Amino acid sequence: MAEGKIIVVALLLVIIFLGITAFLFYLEKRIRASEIKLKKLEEEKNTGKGK
Amino acid sequence: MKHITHKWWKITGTILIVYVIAGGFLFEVPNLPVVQQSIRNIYFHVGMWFGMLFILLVALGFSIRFLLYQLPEDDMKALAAVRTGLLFGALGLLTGMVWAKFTWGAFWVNDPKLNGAALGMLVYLAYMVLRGSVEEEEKRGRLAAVYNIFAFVLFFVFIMIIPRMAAASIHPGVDGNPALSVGDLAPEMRKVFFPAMAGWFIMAWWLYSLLYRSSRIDHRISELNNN
Repeated sequence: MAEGKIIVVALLLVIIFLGITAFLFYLEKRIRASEIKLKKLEEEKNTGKGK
Repeated sequence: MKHITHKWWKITGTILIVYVIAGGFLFEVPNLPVVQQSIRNIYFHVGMWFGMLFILLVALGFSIRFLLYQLPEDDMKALAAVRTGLLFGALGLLTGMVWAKFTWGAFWVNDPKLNGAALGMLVYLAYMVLRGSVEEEEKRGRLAAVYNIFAFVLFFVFIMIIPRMAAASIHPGVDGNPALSVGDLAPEMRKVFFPAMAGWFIMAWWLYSLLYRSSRIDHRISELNNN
């Protein structure tokens, strides 16, 4: 009985942790997109297109 | 810094922690008196605390580099590392408090190691307050870098030196590094403990890299707006 319960606890913690890492991967994607966008903006500004 | 955007080490860290949660709760551990099954908390409490020490050491390195070369990126990296360290420190304290309640009967006991850890965290919180109180970027960077070096030394004194001098701590590890010395850990626990250390180190580095990259974006946007 106790063995069954601890498996549920471990499974729940794994799910919570995977949820957190999924959020971190999502943040990673958003940050990467912002970095690319910013790089383009900086390049445009440096070449004078942005003016 | 190209490696920071690679996925493989983040996936490795995730797999390691999933293994640590599964192994930490389900694998056999020695049934010791007093601690009993709560010994499993070692994979989380010690792992997070060492993850914090690792990332605070990274912060120290960037602060020293900032004082040498005065690059704003190094200041941002130090700040991101301290923020990550504070989070891991808070998690380490929380997991420690749960463990203390089970083994010592209270969430907090008057112990030099515990009090030293709390004081050490306050020293790093003061780093954040200090940063918030200075507006000029370069001055803030220099002050924060000097304070960060001081904070690391003080933190080390609070958690490593004073508890050893007091010699009355009930927290394990007063004579050495808890769980790292030969004989501290049962052999069957090593197969979870060492992956746990690696996993928490990777998670700390991952979080630090995200915080640094987002603050770098903010900095570059404000630079673009100013020019």
